[in-house]
Amino acid sequence: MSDPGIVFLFPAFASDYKDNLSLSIPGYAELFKVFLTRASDSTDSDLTSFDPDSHNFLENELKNQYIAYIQSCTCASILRSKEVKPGIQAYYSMGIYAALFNSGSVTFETGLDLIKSAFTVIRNILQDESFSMCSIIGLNIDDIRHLILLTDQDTEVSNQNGEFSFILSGRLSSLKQIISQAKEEGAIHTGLFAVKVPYHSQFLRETQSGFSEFIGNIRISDPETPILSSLDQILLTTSGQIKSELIRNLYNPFNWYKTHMKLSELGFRIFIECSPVPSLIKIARFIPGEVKYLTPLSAIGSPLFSDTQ
Amino acid sequence: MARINDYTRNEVKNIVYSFFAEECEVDKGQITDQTNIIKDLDGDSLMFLELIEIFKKKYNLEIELKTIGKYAVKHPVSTIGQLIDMQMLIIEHENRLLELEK
Repeated sequence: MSDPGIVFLFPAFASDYKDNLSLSIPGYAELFKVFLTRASDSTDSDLTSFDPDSHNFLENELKNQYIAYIQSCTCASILRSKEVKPGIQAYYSMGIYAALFNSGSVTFETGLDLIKSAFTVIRNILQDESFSMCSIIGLNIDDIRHLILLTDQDTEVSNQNGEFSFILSGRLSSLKQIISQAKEEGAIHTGLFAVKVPYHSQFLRETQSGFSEFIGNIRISDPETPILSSLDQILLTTSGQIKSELIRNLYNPFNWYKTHMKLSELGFRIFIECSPVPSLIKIARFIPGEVKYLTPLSAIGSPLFSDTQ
Repeated sequence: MARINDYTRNEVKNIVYSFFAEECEVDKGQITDQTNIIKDLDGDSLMFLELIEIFKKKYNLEIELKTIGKYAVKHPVSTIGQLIDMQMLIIEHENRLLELEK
């Protein structure tokens, strides 16, 4: 039975594995290996050499996305097997694919196909690799917009994580210029992401037709557990909504801050990040609201769920 | 401008020590003023930001984050002791922090 107060959160791909909790989660290593083998077979990509300690997949965006997906699916499956089930799911950026698998909308293999197709369609439309993403913390939205205006305006705010925390996507040269300017303006933190794709920006608008065609040919079911859209914070309950969300997710900005606030407003109080590498928990520090954040490990060991195990 | 006394300094120190002990999952007794926030505690700028918010609420401070950011660029913090010193200045001078540069 699902708990109306629990949210499963699905992060995007990892930027490092230094806080990897995987070895501490009971049953994780075994199930992860099963999923990893299935993924290797399904994608024709050697994923079995994945080694979190050597960070060997961080430079490969596609493999990194596969790994994040497999990790999330592993964590969520273990939680469900322990009768820790969500009343709703939310996804951060490309975490949508794991959310879909764990809501029963797609099979594990179809989730991998979606990742590969999106990546291929993106690569086909981007003429070069002069794009990236960056984070700026400590400035407000007006400051950020002002900085964008000072450049060639080939960057966009692609996500808001908090009142003073933003992600930008666009041309690498302009992002570097904005980062430099942001430091002078008093940003507490700036960072360029190790990606070459400007996710959630209009630069990817042309993916619409190619990705739509792919999505039209795969099976997507209504989700068993509703998913909250990170794009416009509406509940996704039908396959039609899911298909539309998948397409729009590539080239539309999302708003994690509003998504988080909406979840609180809906009455959800226990947020479990389905990943062995906590990242959304860190972001949540700056989002107001009385919610409890748990890792899979702490959720399994939590007395909150002791009567269900 | 708030007047800083030994009580406030001890209070700030206690908050900073407790904060990093909890966030970085280390024994509070292992932290000293010489502890390096990044190298020794694996801390990050998000923690710095969170700490600022804690002090803004506790002391009802009127200071913009970017004022602190501008100050921090010229006076980078690496140890717990330096962080406490900066927090003391923030509490004392609030939005006039940058006037210390003049």
